[in-house]
Amino acid sequence: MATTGGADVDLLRRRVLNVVGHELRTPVSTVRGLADELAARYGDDDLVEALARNARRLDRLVDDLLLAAAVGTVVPVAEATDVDVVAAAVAAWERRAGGIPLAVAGEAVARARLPVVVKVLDMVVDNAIVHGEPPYTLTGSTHGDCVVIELANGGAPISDADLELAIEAFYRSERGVTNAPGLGLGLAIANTLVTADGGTLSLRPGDSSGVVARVELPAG
Amino acid sequence: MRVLVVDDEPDVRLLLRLQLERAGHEVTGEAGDGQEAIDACAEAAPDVVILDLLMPRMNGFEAIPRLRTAHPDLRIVAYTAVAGDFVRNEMQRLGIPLVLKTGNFGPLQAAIES
Repeated sequence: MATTGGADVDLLRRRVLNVVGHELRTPVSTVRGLADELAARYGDDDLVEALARNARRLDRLVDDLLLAAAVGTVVPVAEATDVDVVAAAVAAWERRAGGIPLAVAGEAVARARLPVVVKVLDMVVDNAIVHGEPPYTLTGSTHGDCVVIELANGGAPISDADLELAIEAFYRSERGVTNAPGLGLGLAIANTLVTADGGTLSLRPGDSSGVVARVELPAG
Repeated sequence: MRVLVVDDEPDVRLLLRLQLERAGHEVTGEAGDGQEAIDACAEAAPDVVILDLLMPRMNGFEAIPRLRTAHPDLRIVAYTAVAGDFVRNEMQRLGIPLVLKTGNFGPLQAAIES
């Protein structure tokens, strides 16, 4: 009988999520699509709209679970193009930060799939807003054949143990559990996506406070 | 566009028919496997085939070369729930757009109309 060390458990977890997730994906996406069709026809009916809203939520959740478990078969399909990642990060910030000020510096153009970049940056921005505090600073730079985008936030320092675990699926820091709802999937999803496009995601302590999230991607 | 819908799941075919018709396309027919798709193309001459890849009897991979031989101008869009590296590379090699099955019709519509 084989022992189940950490690596074995992780492999088993991914296999279970892979199989279960794939079997869920078709019926869930079909329900979501049919609910959207109902909403298009009977959009003024609260019951239909509630059904569509929750079907969309379920559809996103199945995809997020698979991505968080590093199941690359659901990574968006798209051609890699030159993407201005500073502009994309600013756009993500404007979509999700509700007017919180952001200082921006530098430039960075990556060779990557736009839907992947958009989702990665959405997740990184969400994490900074939920777990960090102002001031927020976004910096883009190019280093040889890779580009780097860093989002720094202020706030309380995070322990080394939390920083190490924060990119894993379902991990919630003690502070996060008490002050922010969520499944703890965001950075794990971002990590799967950025890895699929030949990049990396990491976290480190800020210079004086808070955390810096660093995304590296191939240069455009 | 005149579109043939090929998927072994009847509910997926129903959804695609509703989405396509709402977007102004004509659904020329439905097929539940690769052989049915070949027969339906011979009968109705669609502009586009939305082709599930994993199906019983004759799958999408087997159907693609036969469809292309019989209908060189036919546009094929591969439509699948999941796609690993093999599927992505193979569709790229064949020059066939690949769309993942999500409830969101946008990417499929873009692939059909591009």
